[in-house]
Amino acid sequence: MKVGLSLGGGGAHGYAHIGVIHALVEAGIKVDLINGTSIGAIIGGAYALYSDLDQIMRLIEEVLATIKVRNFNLFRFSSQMSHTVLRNWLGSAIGNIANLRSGILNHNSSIQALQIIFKDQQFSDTQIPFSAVATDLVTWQTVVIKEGKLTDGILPSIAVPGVFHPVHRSRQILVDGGVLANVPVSQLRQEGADFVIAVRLPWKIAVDYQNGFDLLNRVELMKQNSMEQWQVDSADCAVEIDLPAFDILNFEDFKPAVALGYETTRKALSRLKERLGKSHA
Amino acid sequence: MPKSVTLVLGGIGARGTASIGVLQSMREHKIKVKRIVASGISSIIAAQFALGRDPQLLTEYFVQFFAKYQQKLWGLAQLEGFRARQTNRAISDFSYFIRGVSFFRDNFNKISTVPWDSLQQDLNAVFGDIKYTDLKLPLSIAAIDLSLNQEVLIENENLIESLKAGIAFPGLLPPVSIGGHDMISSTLYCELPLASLKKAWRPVLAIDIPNVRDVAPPRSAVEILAEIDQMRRLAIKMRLLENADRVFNLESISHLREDYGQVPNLVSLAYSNTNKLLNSLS
Repeated sequence: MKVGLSLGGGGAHGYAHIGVIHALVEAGIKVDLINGTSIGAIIGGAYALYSDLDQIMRLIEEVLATIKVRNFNLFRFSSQMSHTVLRNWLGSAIGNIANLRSGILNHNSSIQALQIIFKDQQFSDTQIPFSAVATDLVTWQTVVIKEGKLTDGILPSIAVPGVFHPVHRSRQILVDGGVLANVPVSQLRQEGADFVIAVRLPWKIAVDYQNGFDLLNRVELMKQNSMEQWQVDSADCAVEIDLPAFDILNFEDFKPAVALGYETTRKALSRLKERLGKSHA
Repeated sequence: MPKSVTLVLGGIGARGTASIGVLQSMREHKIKVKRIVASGISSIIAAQFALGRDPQLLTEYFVQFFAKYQQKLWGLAQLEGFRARQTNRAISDFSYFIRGVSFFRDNFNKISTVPWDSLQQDLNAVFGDIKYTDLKLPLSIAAIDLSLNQEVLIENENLIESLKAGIAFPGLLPPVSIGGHDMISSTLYCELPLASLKKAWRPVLAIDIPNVRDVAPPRSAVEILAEIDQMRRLAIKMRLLENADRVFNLESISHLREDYGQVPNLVSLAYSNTNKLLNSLS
């Protein structure tokens, strides 16, 4: 029986995946296949390649020392802007750029970060079979990438639409896989997994709203949550890492999320082992 | 066809007016409708039908309605993937950009681009003194409850307020308070209100307008986000359509663009398409 690990998207919350894998390894649960969306693709790909969590932590520290990850947060100034007029002005300005260009940020920092982690390694170099999940805007389908350089294959998976430009790959226009498959469970089954462990990073919807965009955004999150729930329900065992206190855009501080991922997964281990046992029998 | 059915009607924006033709055909075929579950514009049409009035009388009403608010409906057209693709791209792109600027300015500074006051008068003109209890047919109006973040069905509340909640499209119209809960239109979550149907209402007949994808790939980030909204809505609709016992696909209107001048055409095509589907069953 092949056990698959499907790692969901969720921005900086995704550091928790490291803790999840730590707990699984410690419990002696062997993973035969990995896939992931967005941050799940980065952590999943790194583990598939190195099978060494300490090395992954070192590489992340190297990324943080090299790249200003703070710049990924477009609204990083707005928290200091107590004045609503200023915040709305910034929002409108970003909206106007979004109306002229296919993205706000280019991929330079993302590529640099991926190269620090994956060097020139290929999907075929990974110790555990791994695939990254993206969304094709041409066919409206989820795309599974499992060939070529890891950096090139994971980049589309993290191209958050609206923020980053989409990635053109032959005839495809690719963006973050989270659009349709934030926890790509069915895609991992297609890769041959018999038992899928899904890791979800739920995104809590804010209670209050101030303007029309807050409402539009909220409906979009509702849609994402519905689809994510259906995906997680189809897994054999799901672990939800709830990180309400952590900013989804704060990529600088990763250790608390790792610790929470580890703790949460440890608590889920007995349930996981029981289900694995049943599937074996 | 079973003796009596629960009808699920939806459709985003002007496409919802297809329900006029659908209900007209149902009436002529003497299909017994035991309940209507409706969202968006369809909830207004369903209310008209549930009162025993001719829904066809609303066609002209909607033509004028959309003409009146056309300038402000930029966001809706945008969300439906209505893109500047004319031959004179430079000019259309520029006007597109200007409309975009005003949409962003409005939506970052306010809760919506259109206030309720004049729209409220338009609704009063049709449903002035009518109460929910005046309806001859049970009607459930779908909306998103912002305190629960899920689709809910409104019944037995103030009719005009309920209809407002049904069409309170986020970004265009402000939320509506029903029983202390703020509500917005559910059509942006799923065009058809299929998420909260009750077992007792079966058999359920859903009227679906199949989605046709825009041929031109999206260019700007805003277009990309609009495309993603459509992709997700389609994915959710396809999944929730499993909750219906039967689905009528109005193939003949799926190709019509989100163009408000098309309302009479939409209605008559939906009418003949429903006729055809009902005839094929009998």
